[in-house]
Amino acid sequence: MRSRTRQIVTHSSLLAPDAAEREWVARVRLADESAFESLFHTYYARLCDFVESYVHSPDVAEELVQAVFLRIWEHRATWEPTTGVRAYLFAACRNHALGALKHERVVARVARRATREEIALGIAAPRMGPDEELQASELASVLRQAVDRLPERRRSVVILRWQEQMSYAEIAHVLGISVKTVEAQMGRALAFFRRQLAHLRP
Amino acid sequence: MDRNSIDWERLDRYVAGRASPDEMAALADWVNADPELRALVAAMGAAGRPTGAERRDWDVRSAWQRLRRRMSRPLLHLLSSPPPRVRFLLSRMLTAAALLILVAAGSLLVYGRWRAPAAELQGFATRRSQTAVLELPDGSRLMLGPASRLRLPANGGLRVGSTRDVYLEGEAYLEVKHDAARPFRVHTAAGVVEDIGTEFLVSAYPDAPGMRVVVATGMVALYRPPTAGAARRPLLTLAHGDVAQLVASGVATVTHDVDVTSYIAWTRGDLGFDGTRLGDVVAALERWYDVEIRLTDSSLAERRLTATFRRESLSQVLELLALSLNVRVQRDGRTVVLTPGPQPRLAQ
Repeated sequence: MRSRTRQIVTHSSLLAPDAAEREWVARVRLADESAFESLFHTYYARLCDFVESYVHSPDVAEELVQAVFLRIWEHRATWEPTTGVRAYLFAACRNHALGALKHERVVARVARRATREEIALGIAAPRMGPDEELQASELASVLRQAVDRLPERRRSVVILRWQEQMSYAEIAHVLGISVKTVEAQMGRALAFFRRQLAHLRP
Repeated sequence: MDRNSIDWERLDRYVAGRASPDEMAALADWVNADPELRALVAAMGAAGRPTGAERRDWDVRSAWQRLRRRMSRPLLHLLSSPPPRVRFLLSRMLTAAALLILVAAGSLLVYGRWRAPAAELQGFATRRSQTAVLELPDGSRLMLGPASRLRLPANGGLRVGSTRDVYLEGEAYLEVKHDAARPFRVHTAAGVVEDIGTEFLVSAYPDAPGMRVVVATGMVALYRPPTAGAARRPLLTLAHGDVAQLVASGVATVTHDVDVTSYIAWTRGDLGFDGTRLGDVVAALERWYDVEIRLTDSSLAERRLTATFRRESLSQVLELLALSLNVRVQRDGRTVVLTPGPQPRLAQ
């Protein structure tokens, strides 16, 4: 726990929020609802996308993201996203999602395992049609399923990098890991995709 | 395209936008020349979304409306209404999420343990670093400070025909719709404040002696705590600009013509101190910023601070404190230790 905290501190200098973001935060602190609304509009859909990759339910994803925003509003007076608004929001949503999953896992461990196995089977089965060439859209769908099969942290690294175009340092902050680990996770994810798509070769 | 020879590192740099402008242009040419690479890049950009959904259409506008309704709801929970049943054998994710929100919004429920003496009272409470606005049924408005608790008659008890007695522990700023037929009374452990057409502040934290009443406009009457059989006669009448300190023994001190700004600054989102003892400043900061502050030297408590904070962050507040009062600040998470600073070196 200690070492993790230290890691985050070393990254924070790279992630100092710029002046515009500080202004945003300052206005939210002063209960400026329009500033809070634009924050919401900027990030809501992206955060829902991200959380849905954890909880696999759009309704649950929305609830969790809303809870994060509500909490910020209720504690706005002391809101201090030192490493930038985006990293803060993604980190908070991930923590919320993990919390929800942990609870759910206790309750429905068996059900989840079954689902995961189903997905694995779906991918393992050859998806080639009679046509020689795989449809481009199928390629895309195989990639997405491959992303879904990645372990939680590795999947989040991929999503934050490709969808949010975050730097390694920012991803490291969101996930509470070191930059080196982020790089390693990304490398492993790419190797996995390489294998998965090669596997489909006609 | 040979799928074995896909250059994933290049694709990754392209989708992540981590390349120089020149290289980005070259990568774009490379991708666009191959329909399969194009499809792959599109899929990479939508990697986290469920299969078959390029883009999910989250209804951001109606989501905002929903959130706004929850934001404008007072932070307080009506505790006299039956508490939500929380079952611990949750079978579905959705219930898990609902529980989470309950926990997030409902940490105020702790207050449920604070039993009202009469069953027909309902309670409200804020935690540290929270404030809340209550619009009362009689048109009065009440702003509850941090770490404060308020009880008032349940189920529209403030409507026609009833008394308007509220019970406070902590701090509240009240804008009372005056009604001579139905006096509005704020009861605290130290005494009772009765409005005579007024905006006033009552502060009665358990960790501070007695209660303080600050009158912003109009007048209030101050009473001792009611005792059976005693004649109800006001101890004092206070007008605007008066600050009264009443201790439980019944001794009151009044200061007239006070600039009340710093006392009521928090109702506008500021935090004001005007020659305030550091000991009292620390108590306020603990409530507002939800921290524990320790003074290593008791003489520190007597130093005086005059300052107004406009929602500065805790670290900014502490920095100012260190500079203006010559104290050394050590902060470890939510714990802060203040020690006397070095003696200023006198010129020879």
